[in-house]
Amino acid sequence: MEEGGVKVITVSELVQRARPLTGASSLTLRRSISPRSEPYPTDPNNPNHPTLNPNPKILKSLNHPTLIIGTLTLPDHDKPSASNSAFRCPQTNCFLFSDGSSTICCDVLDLDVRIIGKKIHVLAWNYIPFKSGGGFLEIITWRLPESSSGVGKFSSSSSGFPLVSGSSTDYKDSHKACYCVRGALESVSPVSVVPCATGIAPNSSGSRNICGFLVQILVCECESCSVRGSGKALQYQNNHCFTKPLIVYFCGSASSWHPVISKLIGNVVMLSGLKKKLVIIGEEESQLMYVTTENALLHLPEVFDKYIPVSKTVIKANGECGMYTGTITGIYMQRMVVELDKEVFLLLTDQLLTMPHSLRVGAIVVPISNFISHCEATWMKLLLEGETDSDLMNNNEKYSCLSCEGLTYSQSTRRVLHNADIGVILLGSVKISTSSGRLQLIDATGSIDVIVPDLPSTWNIDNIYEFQGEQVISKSSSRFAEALILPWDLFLRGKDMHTSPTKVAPDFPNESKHHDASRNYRECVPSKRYKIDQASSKDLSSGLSGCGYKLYSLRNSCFTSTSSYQEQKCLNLSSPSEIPCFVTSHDQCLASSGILCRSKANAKLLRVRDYYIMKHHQEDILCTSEDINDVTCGKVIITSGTHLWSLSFSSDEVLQNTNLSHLPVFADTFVSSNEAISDCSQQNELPPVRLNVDCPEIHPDIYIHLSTNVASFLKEELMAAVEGLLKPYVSLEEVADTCCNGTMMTGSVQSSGTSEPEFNLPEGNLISFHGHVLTVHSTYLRHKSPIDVHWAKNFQVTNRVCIHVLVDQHIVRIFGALSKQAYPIGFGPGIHATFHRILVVSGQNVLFLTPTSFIAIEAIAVVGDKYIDKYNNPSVASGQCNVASFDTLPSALICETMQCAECKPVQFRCRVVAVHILVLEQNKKSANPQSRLRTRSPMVNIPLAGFILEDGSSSCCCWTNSDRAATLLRLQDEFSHENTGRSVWGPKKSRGDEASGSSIHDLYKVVEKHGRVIVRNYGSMFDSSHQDLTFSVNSDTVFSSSDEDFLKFVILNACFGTFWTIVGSRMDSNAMEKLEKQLTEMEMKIQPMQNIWAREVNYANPLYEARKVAQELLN
Amino acid sequence: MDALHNTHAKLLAFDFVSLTPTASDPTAFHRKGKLLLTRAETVGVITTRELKPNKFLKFAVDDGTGCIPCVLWLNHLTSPYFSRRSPPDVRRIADVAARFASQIQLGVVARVRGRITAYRGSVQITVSDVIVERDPNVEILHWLDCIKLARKCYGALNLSPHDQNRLS
Repeated sequence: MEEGGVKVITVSELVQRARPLTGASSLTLRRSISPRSEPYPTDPNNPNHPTLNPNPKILKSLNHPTLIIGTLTLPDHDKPSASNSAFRCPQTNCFLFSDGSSTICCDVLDLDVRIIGKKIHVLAWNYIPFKSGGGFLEIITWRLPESSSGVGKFSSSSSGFPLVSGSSTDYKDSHKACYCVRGALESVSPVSVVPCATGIAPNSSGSRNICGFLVQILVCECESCSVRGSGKALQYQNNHCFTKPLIVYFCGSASSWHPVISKLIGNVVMLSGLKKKLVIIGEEESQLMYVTTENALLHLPEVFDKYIPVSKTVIKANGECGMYTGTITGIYMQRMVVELDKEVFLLLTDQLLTMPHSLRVGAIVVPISNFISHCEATWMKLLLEGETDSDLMNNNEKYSCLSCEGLTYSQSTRRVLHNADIGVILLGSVKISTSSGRLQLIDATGSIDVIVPDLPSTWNIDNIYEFQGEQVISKSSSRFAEALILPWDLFLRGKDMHTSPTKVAPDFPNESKHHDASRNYRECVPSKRYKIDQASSKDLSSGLSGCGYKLYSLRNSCFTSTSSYQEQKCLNLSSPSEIPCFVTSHDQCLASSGILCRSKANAKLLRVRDYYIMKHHQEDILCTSEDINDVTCGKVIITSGTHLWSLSFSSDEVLQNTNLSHLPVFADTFVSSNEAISDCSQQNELPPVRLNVDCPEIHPDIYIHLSTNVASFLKEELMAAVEGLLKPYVSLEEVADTCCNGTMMTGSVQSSGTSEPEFNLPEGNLISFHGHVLTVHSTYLRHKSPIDVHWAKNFQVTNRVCIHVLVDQHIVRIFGALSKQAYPIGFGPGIHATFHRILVVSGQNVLFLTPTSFIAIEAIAVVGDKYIDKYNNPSVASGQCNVASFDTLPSALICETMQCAECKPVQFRCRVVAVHILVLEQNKKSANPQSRLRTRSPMVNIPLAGFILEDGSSSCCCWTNSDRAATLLRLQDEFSHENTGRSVWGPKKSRGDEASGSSIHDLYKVVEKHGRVIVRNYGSMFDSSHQDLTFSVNSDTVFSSSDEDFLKFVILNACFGTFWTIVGSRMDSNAMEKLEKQLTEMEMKIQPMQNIWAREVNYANPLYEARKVAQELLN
Repeated sequence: MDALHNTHAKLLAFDFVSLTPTASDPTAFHRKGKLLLTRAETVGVITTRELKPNKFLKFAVDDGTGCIPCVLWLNHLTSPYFSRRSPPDVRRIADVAARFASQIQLGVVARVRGRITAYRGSVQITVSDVIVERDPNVEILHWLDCIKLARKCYGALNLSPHDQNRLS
């Protein structure tokens, strides 16, 4: 359709194009006449004046003039299924624009209330399609069609706009029995739906939902304004002081005015036809409100009397409101956070708060300080909850004890909370703490240590990062080497008598994309490396002498392929900046005389106490970096393509007499080391006198001969560098082939003969391995190595630990001392970690952490919920292994416990024969949707269960609760069925039609129905088929035969199962007293047999058990 | 001795077949003339299988030291022995027994528990439950358990002089 050369585009065309577009009817458009067409008043002195985005995103413009003709209407909350509702936004709070072809959401930048319901010509517009279909029309300018009455002019609006369509617009009608409010419109709430009981409506079904929103209006308290319903109030005066806040509730049909009222914020308006209501909020609080009636009218002045609230840009206290105008510079957090001018964050804190078509609901962002407080509060709550969860044996779930080598340790109370459980997302920048060296998330309110397994290679301390607690498993390469980087460049003299510096520097490739948490645990390797300030070739050639060189102490020297963090500390060093030397290569082809110059030259220890020159690439970080401080992400990776030349130093008096005057002091050009080596011009027959750091069996590629005095200086410096290391008391003789799985690294350790000769340092292999940490506990010094002693003596060791790690279905224990600094963040049970350089002491088969050991956390499982842990750990659940404490506790037969006077925990291997009593109840913690924190709790709680167990020697009654009881009941049978390799008969199969979940889900349905079910066995305790099971429930519900049938299947299934390994102890008199009391309440008696409290229950590993029994029989 | 009365004793086949009925209690059996046992557990390979549908399944478990004859009753729905129990319970037990019977196949390694009974002058196990084992280590573990229990609880292995000579 053409209209005066301007093409009329229909809404359906826009929708079909589904592209962002902009269009206008004319390039020189004049705005429509409108009383509100004045631009937003701006204060030139206001620093928050909207600024133009220098790089705005431009919508694609149509290449011809276009016009859209349609009608602007209000949303109709009562009729959500309006025409073309598919294209309507879910918020239903937008203006609608319809041209007969389709209806879409729209906004009018220059709104005049009088155009509502009228046909308008849209002269300039933007169109943004929705991903879900439909789109959003932004009306920039409009005019009334010439055909309409008034030719673009409105009649007077003094009579007001009815908020409910079809009602009278007569002000007198509306104000007769009602109130009116006049004032500055300050804020508008989102539209919410309130369930409302309407007993008076004859046709109503009793209740319905009412849409509505709240508006805060600041009114004047002057006399003229206080006169109720004063008609004069419409005549605005300038001398009003709008200070008193009132709330008007727009309800029902009036709620469709939400987009209009939102546009009027800051304006003085009058509302008439209101009722006064006292609204009770909660039990005590009440609020006076004005509520719209069917006669409610909105009055707007002829000339807008804009009331500009004080624009607060500095908001100090909680609850203060302010206004900020700015350009959106970023949207984060699933569009729940809007960044303005790169300075201000607007956080949407309520799911009802929705930005028009741009933002959607996500989690709540909290400041880090609040987050920490929240976590502390949550933690305290959990601890308090835990205190009430103790069992008959006074064992507390949260403080359950662990036995290791016959000694009991309290388990760590570490608990990992899912971010989703806490319900917050953190925003901040990622920095490295200067005090701890740990990676931290920092915002203006505080900081928190973080583990970022997938920190992007583009990590920038200036960026804002969004943190969500997703479990990320990062497979990291474990190849690593430890380097002491020497601050020297080697300059060699070429044929043209220029001295060429052989750049000896580590291969610092661009930062790998591969990161893992290991960066945070660098403190595990307490050593330092030194590196000189970077000097460009120009600097070197223009004069080295007299320069004040800076020696940078880098805290860590262990470079893994994933490490990057180096902290730098500046030291001044007054030392010679150049050392004359002779250089020969291993084939005795003479190298030129040369100069060792201080620079960023580096050597690398591939073998302990050996020196290497590496080809230094121009693209290396050390080369490309202007400032040494930039080298914060460097790392050393040695690949098969890396050229390395071993280096040897020697010294002799003769060199002192050598005329060095011919040596050019400075080099003009750089050449790579291999070029330099091949360029030999002078025979050197000096016998190499090695510095004592050299290994005699190594044949270096390059010899550097130095005069004795210079060598002594160099030696001193080297020794100083070595002294600067936190000495590794075991040194790596060989750090070679590494791989990623299983036992990865081979190497050996030898006594390094350091300054502590009194210690006979252990020898053994260093190994690395992956493993699942089962438990970590402090330990007494039963396994106390000299390393440990020395380490503890000299450094701030806060904890001697024993770490139980599941490696390839075997449990290993690592002993050692972890200083607080070295304790990796998040380290504890439930993590998957790679343990680097763990010492296997020869002859003892004991694993030790050494000062150079290094733990890289790869994944953290949410722990603290044993129930889930047990089943989530396939190795444990499948019976492939025993839980850590099992291998350390003595085994016993049931008959043996009868003779034992003590109640020490022992392990039994036994089968379930019958159930004595079983109490099942709904877990209220998991049932409460508000308590998201406990959603991982089992759905069915078992406060008490008594099982009859036997092991061939005797029978006993085994009492237990919660997850252990669930395990004995084999409630996760479909899981164990697949993993135990046993053919088991499960209740699920008998309920094939409900095979959607495990037994526990079916059980939950039963328990949910009845609240609490008590199962008693009045029949045989020794014959599974002859149990006489009765069921009782607390509720008034009938325990149906199907429920009974199902529970009997569950119990029979438990009795026809495999054998278990159970850690338990004979119940003492106190526990028996409590038990008797509980049983009496349930009208049951204690069976005349041994009573045992089961502390842990697990599938037994037949091979492991067989080995144990065989060993026992052999002994 | 009482402790063992209702316990499923883990016995090697050669030990089991030497059990003798007691005169006073038809459910109890003597081991080496003194130890009273009523129930037993064995692990081994199913070597014979004879099914009488809806009546019983007879099978033998070979644990390497001998064969233990077993009978799994399948007549729960018709037997007067179960007439006093509720029909759903009887049906459930019958279903379970049928499932066990289907699992007992020649060549599988099964763990069998049940009461010790006498039939035509020889001892057998009247089966109460069956687990088909997939892990071969359970057999070895069972042997070791039998030896350990015999030493610690049952009053030493019931070896014949010939066996003792052979072992020594």
